[in-house]
Amino acid sequence: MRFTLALVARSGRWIAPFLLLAVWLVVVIANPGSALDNAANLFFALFVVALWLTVTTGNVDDDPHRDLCAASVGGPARLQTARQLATMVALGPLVLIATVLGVASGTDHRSLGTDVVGTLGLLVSAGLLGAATGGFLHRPILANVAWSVVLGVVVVLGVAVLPPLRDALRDADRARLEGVAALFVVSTLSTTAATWLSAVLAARRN
Amino acid sequence: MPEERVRLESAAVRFGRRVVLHDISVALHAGELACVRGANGAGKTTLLRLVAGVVRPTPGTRVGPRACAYVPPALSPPSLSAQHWLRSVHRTRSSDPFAVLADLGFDGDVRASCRSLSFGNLRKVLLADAFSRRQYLVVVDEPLVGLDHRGREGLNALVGRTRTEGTTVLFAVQDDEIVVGVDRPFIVRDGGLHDGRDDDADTHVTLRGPIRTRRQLLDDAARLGYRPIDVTPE
Repeated sequence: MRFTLALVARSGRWIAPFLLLAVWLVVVIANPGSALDNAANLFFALFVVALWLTVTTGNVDDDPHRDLCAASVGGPARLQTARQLATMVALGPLVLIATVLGVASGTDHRSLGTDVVGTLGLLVSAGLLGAATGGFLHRPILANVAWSVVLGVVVVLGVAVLPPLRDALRDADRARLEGVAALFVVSTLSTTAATWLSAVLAARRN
Repeated sequence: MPEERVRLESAAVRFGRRVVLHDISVALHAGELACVRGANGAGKTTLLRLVAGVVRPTPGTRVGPRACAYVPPALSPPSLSAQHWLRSVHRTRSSDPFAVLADLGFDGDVRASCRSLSFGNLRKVLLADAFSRRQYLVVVDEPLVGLDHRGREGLNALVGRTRTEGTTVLFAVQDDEIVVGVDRPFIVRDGGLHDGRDDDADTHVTLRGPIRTRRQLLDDAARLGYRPIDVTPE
């Protein structure tokens, strides 16, 4: 994981998704609503950034270098899992920053605890879902980067109409946490399953 | 009999419908130096990836260590420096990777990005990484590519030292190249793995032993009808 993070950091490919998140944060802070409203607005930014960063991490090296790393860690399945976990670790500080800024810029503070828990729940879910989805959109599972982009856009658009997310964002707008809690549970379980499945697929496709 | 390190049983590799390797059964033991020869596209690299556990046999089985050191024939160098690479890619080392790098005659800047290194120096970084690890198995594709005379001498010494520690070493070379001191010569042909001794017993008996001088090697190669590794004029 440490080596993967170093590779991504030195490659400079993280800059574009980070810039996207920074711009999105500025837009949200410039037009603030309640803290949970801000979180709902930042949800898609975090989702897209997590997906983009996961694909970037997966494609950070060429096939021979990935083989070298895979042999080193004990196979392509382990490498896939390590790289996905590395992305999640890298997303941690981003989620925290987005949470702090989203809550701090909120205009209608009902309860600080509710705001923080709701915002954190939504943004962690966004990061998990983005990383889980992105795990299927890079080599060796998906060899063609063009298809990664196309499928990534389709996934982003598709996620918006899924019931758990739709309900969670609607609840967030109403400053309720039931939908957020359900989304957090669903995203945690689905990310665990997706990480396992992508590792199996990576071993088969390598 | 030394301890068995890695074993393939009736292993095959397919890419889509194309069968690249079939019915590969082989066992490599502790301290052995095995060398696979074969023409371009014969499946040498695929066999090495199979042994290294990077590609799954379908069908068949691979029994051996999960992790090993694998050196591909070429790769796009990462933006990391050689120093950063050798410190972070692997933590458990049997020897100082920078000392191994020096033994191979590395003359680049270890603090510079791997992208700025020459091909030969990048190969030396990969080899230093592989041979300084605490591993049961080291797999090197095209070990001689890009190495100068000092690099080859250093590699020869490294292989000898690694084998005495019980590590199994597997090389793959072109069908007309010669590697000194091979215990288990193999040939990949028509998707199958054949015993190299059956094909050219004289080659490996003649070349067993320490690294030879360029003149000796050229004479040996010419006598056996092989293309010499080093053809630069003296």
